[in-house]
Amino acid sequence: MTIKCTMCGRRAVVKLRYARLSLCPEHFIEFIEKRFKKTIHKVKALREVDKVVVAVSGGKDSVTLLHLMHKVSKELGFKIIGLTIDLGIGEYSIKSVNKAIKNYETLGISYKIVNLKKEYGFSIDDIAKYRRRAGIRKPICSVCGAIKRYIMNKLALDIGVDAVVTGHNLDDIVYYIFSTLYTGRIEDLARISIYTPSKYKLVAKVKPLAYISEKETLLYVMLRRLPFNYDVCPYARLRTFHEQIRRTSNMLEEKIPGLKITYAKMFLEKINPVIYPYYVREEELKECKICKMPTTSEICAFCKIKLAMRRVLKR
Amino acid sequence: MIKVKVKLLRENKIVEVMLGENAKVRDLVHELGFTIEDVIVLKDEMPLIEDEVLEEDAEYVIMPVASGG
Repeated sequence: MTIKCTMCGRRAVVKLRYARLSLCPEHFIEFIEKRFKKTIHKVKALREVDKVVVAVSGGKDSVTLLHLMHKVSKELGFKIIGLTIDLGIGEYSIKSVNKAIKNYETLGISYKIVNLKKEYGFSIDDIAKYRRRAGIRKPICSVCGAIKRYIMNKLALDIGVDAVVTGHNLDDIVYYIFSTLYTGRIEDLARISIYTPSKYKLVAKVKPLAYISEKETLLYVMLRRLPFNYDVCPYARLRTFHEQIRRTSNMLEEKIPGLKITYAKMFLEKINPVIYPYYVREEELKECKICKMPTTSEICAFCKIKLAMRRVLKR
Repeated sequence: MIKVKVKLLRENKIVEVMLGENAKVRDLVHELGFTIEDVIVLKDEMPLIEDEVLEEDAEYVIMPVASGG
């Protein structure tokens, strides 16, 4: 038995149980584009931007983000610049960067590739190998995240854009909610937001895929036949807690369709604005003594990693 | 019972799965230990809805969604 598209009667390829819709490829693509636009319109600040950086790793989420941002930028009249960081994770990074470039060139978007090893002297593979010897205690994924945030912000400041747009999806948001609740980090929970305004040398950040799940981004790139890297980061297997939360939230979603999006909407739009003023202490930012980028301590997290890695790699 | 061939894309492995008559895509996904949110099931390169009935001897591809990026 073939299931028909709720909108046009053609063969459906996607069932969105939370929306009570079965959709054909064309109507699914239209649905995602509408949902994205709706989220973008919720961020009032995006109506006034001239130029934004879109962070593209080359995976399904960021490729979806780039194509959706490209459409929206034409309508709202702002410029987008792609940023891809070559993290130096062996074959995985080579493939990812190539896919990102293919998408930039298809869309005619100007872009910048930052090669971590060439620009700063170390790669993520170096960190994975020498992390302990360098005295870096944080898990590799946390270190990688800190590096990406630093480079994105630095480039955004250097070229003078109004915001950095990233491909965090609904599953990422749900993960943050579950994990911050589990660990009781209410301040971090209160900070989860689609839009983070700029603050002393920290460029504003936007997460417009917050209401689009990773299953939906995968379907979007596949149905639009967009080039993307399907490989899994070799270090992702180390994130067992993350994987357990993801599995659990998907199990709940199957039992209660719409649970993930309802959770995300409740926290981002109702709960967080209420708890934010009570739990978030605005930390005073100052310039890092080495790189002049914003930090709460004397030396920023990125420079600490850079110095530690330099010591180890010189040996 | 019906028998279907399944390609597990991440593992690059093909397995045969036996399921009851009129088994649906959802049943195949569960049999392999996934939830319907975890994977996309493809036939002839097109995604299938979990309510679709599986065809005897047909080949299906299981594409896990999580990328961990």
